[in-house]
Amino acid sequence: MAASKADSKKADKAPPSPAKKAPPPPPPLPTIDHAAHRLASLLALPSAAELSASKPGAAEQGPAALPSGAGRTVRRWLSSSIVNKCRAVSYDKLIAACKRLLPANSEVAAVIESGKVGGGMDVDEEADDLTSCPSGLPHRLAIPALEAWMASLAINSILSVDAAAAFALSANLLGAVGKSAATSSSTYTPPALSPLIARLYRFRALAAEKSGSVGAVQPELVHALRLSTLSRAEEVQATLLNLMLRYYLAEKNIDAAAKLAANTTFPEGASNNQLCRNLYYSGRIGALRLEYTEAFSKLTLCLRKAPTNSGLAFRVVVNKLLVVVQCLSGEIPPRDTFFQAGMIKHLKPYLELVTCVRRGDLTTFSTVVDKHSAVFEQDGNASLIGRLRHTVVKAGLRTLSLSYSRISLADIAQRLGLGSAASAEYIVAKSIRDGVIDGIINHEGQFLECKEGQEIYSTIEPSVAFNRRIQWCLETHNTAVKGLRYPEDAYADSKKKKKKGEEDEKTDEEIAQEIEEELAEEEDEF
Amino acid sequence: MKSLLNDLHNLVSGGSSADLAQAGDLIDDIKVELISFDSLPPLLYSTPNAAEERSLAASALEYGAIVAVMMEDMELFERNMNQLLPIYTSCPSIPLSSLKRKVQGLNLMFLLVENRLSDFHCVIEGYSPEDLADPQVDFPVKLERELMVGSYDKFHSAKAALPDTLYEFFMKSLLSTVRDNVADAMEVSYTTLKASDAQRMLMFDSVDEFKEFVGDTREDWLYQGCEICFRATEVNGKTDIPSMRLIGQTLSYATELERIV
Repeated sequence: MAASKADSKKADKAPPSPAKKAPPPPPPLPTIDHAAHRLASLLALPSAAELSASKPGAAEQGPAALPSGAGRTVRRWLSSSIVNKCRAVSYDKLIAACKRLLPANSEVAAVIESGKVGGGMDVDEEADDLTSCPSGLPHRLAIPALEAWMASLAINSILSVDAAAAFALSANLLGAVGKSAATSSSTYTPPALSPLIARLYRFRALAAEKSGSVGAVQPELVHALRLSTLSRAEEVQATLLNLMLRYYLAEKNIDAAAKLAANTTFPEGASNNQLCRNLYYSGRIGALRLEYTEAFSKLTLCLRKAPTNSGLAFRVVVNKLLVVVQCLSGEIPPRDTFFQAGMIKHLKPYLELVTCVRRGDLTTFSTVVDKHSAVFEQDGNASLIGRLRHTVVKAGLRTLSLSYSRISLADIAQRLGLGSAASAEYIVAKSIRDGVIDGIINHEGQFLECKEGQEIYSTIEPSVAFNRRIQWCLETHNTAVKGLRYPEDAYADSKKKKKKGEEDEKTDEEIAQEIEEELAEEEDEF
Repeated sequence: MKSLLNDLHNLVSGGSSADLAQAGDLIDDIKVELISFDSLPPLLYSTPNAAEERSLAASALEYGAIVAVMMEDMELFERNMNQLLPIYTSCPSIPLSSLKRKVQGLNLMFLLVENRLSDFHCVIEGYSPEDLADPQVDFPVKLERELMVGSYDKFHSAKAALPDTLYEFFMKSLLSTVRDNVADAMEVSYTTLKASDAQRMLMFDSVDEFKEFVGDTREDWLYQGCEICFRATEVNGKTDIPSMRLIGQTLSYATELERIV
């Protein structure tokens, strides 16, 4: 049965691969081999140059000697379509591929084979595959990376079937991969392996989570984090940090999560996906610790960096949290947040919530919270939403103070559902002190006399808002400049186009001058 | 060890000051004993009698926290809690002791008094729904919510409905914070207020106490007959333009723009 399944898969996969790449050899290579050889050629090329370049430096582990290029190459390779296709490969085929691609004495291959769960292997098919593989073993240098990759495929394919088995297997595989990497003589190994090992850890943590032994992995992750920090394996470091943050947040051990986040620096060279995760986690920690402004900036940055065409679920989760954080910091999230493609259904409870907050209606707020409490609980936002009560009261008070020049405290209590006039008196007094509303309470008459709204342009407020926006623009510009990547041969082109570039610069200068003039004008107003 | 705990239990239920002092000494002795337990955090070795050791340590430290509250010693309380909380979080399997919820509630009160609200919320986040449903824990959670909104009158009614006498100590300290907040709010939201009303709003039982409070902390409140006038000292000038700040901002824009160009 397993064989037939594998067959059908193969049949599925065979057509797209030649269609996608016209040049590859006529007998269609199995997808794994194809991907493996691609990796080998990718690694073998730059590594020769990098090896000779870094050898005089001798310091194998020194920060300067580590070519980050290999890591990036592997990362790009991992996200290519061929590799993605390999995820669906059956375990039997994987074992066959190990035999073909890895040296006979490879420990990792042995472990992968030992991890097989049920199902007979079709010998004929394997033989068939062997004959259709013309190139034999890939480049020696690529072996450790291939081993690590195969290991991650192995864990991934068992994971959906048997999480406990995947968990047990991952421990052995990590050990074997680590040993193989240590004995391998190539100097470029650590950076090239980094994304792959990170992936292994991610699968391991996932398997642990599914099989309910998360707590047991934690010390191991801490140990691995220490090692990866020492060897500057940034991708591993980033992944491990995120895994640990995830664990602490899931355990509701916010204190530990906050301390971990505060006492570590997230590596700069980590991949964008890990950075997004980290931003989300730190945003959540910030929100739980009442640091709403910080959480807000983290979450907006996260949304901006998150991939726009995939990971919808992730973006939905971030949006949910962002909406709550915005409400908590006294802002009303823009309406189009709730109508983004694919999110309308998921964000609906939050839309209702925000509508109540905006209106300042405490009674409907309570009903909405009750109605959707299961959703909020599931999203882990329930306690944050509980804190919103305070914001609702404030918003209600503000609308009342804007619409009435004088209103009795009993009426306020009734409108906002506050219980008693005495309670309302305290609340109004506090709001006046917090600057939410402006007015005077008359105790004898039991009413609130609202002051006319002050002309906001006579205050410092606009300049503060202006400064905040400019700061944001400048920061975005600077990060954009830092994020620029140039293609290898861009320099030659730029030489040719230099003349044109000069003209461009001039126009830029003019624009800048205009902006400056505008700035000066606006400054004059204050 | 167990006999020590029994002694401790008797001393704590005795409750006289001499007993308390003795209990404090006893807890110090127990803590020295606890050092030899490898099953406690941060080592967390799974020794043969780990479960027993952990629950012994937890109940000893729970007593420690309660004794600290009885002795009205906040620092001691915090120290005990810092030792106790890791045991709760890292060994969730220890049986629920009768004191756990009380200590959890007291810890929340402590954080509220210290105004460590972010810690307060972090701690709540870690509690299970069963923890939160307990009246001892629920009390400080509700209290915090009321104080955040500003319904200070609820504070008064809360004082009447304490879940345990131990909470009184923290309520006393909280009262002074609340009074300060109310007084601050009164200053800006009333022009004048009858002294008797002010006294009622600030939750003072006697006129003398109130007068003492005003004399100590609110020197700028003026008495006009039986009314208090708050606005006497307020200056009605327009705020200056913060020129230095604006100059700094403009200069920073200039340098940034220069860099861009």
